[in-house]
Amino acid sequence: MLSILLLIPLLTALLCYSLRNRKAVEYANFLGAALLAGASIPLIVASLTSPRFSLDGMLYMDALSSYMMAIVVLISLVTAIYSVDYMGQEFEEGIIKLKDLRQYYALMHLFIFTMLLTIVSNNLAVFWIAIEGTTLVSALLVGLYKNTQSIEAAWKYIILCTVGLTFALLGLFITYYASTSVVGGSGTLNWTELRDIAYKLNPSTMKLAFIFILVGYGAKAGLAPVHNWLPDAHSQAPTPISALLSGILLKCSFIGIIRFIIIVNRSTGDSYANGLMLFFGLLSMGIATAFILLQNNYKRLLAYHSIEHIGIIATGIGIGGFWGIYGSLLHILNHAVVKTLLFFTTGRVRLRYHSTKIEKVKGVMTRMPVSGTIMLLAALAIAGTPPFNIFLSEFIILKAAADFGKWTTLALFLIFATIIFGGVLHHFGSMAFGKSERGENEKERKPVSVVLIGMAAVMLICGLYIPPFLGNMLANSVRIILGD
Amino acid sequence: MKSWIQVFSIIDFISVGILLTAIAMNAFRRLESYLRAYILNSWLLSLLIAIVAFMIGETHLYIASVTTLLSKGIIIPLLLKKIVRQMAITYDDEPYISTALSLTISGILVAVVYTSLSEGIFVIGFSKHVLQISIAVILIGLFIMITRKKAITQVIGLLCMENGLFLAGFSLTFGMPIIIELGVLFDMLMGVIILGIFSIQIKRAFASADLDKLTILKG
Repeated sequence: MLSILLLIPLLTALLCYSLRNRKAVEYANFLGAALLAGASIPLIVASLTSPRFSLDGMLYMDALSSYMMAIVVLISLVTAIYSVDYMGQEFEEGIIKLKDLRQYYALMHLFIFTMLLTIVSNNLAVFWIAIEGTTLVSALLVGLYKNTQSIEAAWKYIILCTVGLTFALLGLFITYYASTSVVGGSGTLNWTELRDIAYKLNPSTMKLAFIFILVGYGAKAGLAPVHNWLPDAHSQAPTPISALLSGILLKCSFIGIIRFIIIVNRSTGDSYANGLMLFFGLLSMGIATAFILLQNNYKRLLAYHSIEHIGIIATGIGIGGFWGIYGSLLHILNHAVVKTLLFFTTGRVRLRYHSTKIEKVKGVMTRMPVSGTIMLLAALAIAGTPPFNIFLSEFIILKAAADFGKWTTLALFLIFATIIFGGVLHHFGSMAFGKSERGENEKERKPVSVVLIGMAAVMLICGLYIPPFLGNMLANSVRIILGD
Repeated sequence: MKSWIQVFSIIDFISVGILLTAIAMNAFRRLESYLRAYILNSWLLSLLIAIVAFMIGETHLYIASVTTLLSKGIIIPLLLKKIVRQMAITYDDEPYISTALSLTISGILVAVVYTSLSEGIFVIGFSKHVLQISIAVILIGLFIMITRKKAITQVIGLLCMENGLFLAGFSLTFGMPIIIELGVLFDMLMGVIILGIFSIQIKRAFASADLDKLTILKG
């Protein structure tokens, strides 16, 4: 069942590449994404309570994977719908050719496939192969426009992430070595087996392995100070791909770190990995804060927001305890929804204004009422304004920090969040309001507006209360991480 | 034969060969010699795996040796040669630092690795020297990536790093299960192809194969 699910995006990719007609490719893309979403629901529900294996123990799904899969599938579906509009418009304007459009859809579904594979892999090396696969596929997507900027961004992206992942592979070798002295013979890299023998693994070996893993997957997740590829890649990629990169790819890589922390914590105790996560989480927030204030390009602005929010997620994990981890995991979903929404709305702004400079964009609210309003709401949400969902998860993380008496963390968190709030209001306020130079009001396209309004509703509802099934998913996932 | 391998410490000899070919890359300016040093490096790696396979009689190590030879020793070099020919460049004329300095620094890197891993290391594989050499090769690969300007030399530096990584993995645990190793090699092969595509695009878009032109994106 699990392997059949993985086949859907692969086959869609093949189909998209082989079709020669624009409409046909777009339908194949939409059907593939919808089929994936439909087929994943029974699997997600089933593995919430009882974990399942597939392919000789290589693939594994538990509550944490099903939670992540739900996010990936949801964001992929809305991105597939949005792509038809966005890339279609670029095609009509002659920015891309039909060949690029086919390539785009094929690579996008391949990208979704590699991300799904990271989530359901049980073998840590399969996870590595999948995450390196995401780099390769998405680098091609980042370089899709083949102009100097996008090639530069793609080159930096692929080189930095591959070097980082090389170190992560060294970490895996060390883990494999540590496991040979426990299980004997050829050792194991299966996460489930490593988890069971984790308390016997040599703590100092695992500490060394964790450093390499953190460098490697941290680079891919966008943790400072190894985040340099992220603003370039996110700003140069086609907008729907920016949403995928920021909304889910960073988290897929982050899940790799979390899975590893589960093993390391049992071997070395909680304080080691948690301390590192707390440090790098706060560092990411701090570095992102400085760049957010000085930014004059709204796509790069959003990219730095991703670094900030990955920092928040890492901080939550670093604080630990039930509520710290709960807040972190909830933040993964909330950030995915809000950031996708922001990229989608600013993507429409870009199509209309033909610029990514903040000062060139004025009066979005009057020219594009639906997108403009939702953009402003999402911008407020990303800054952590109640009653939106990001406020809720940030509040849970802060409460956990207070419960554990981590006052320095709490203070730094609040300072960064306040400064970022000011920056967001300034930047997005100047884009949303003001007088637009050219006043023609085109009609906004319906299907996309429906998607945007739907996601904005999710953003609001999840800020007011957590639906029982979501709460259930989160609680089960937290229990997996805490290990009881 | 087996005792012969041990008496003459053939394994250490070959791994020193791997180290020397990695260091030699720092001295070359011509891309062809550069590529040759990398090919020699990969062949020595494959030979080392084959000899250990013979010593301990593991079939999966023979397979690993053959796949290493095929991918890193033959297919990737052929791809790289094709890219070099398409880009029509033969020299990496102006690296950021001089040849003498880069050789000195790689010498220092080896010394640092040897002293820092000489004691207190809890990760020891079948030969202590092999692990030290592999870490040194990884660092030298990284050093090449930092100091060279051409896109293609950066790719070769990355590949050199990955050879060191495979050597490290091999010295720690006699390699990974074969299916994993194949997956990693597949990723690497795809990586080289994609990096090749991009280096040709860099040459076309920037009208130069130098990476110091890539400074448009800032902040």
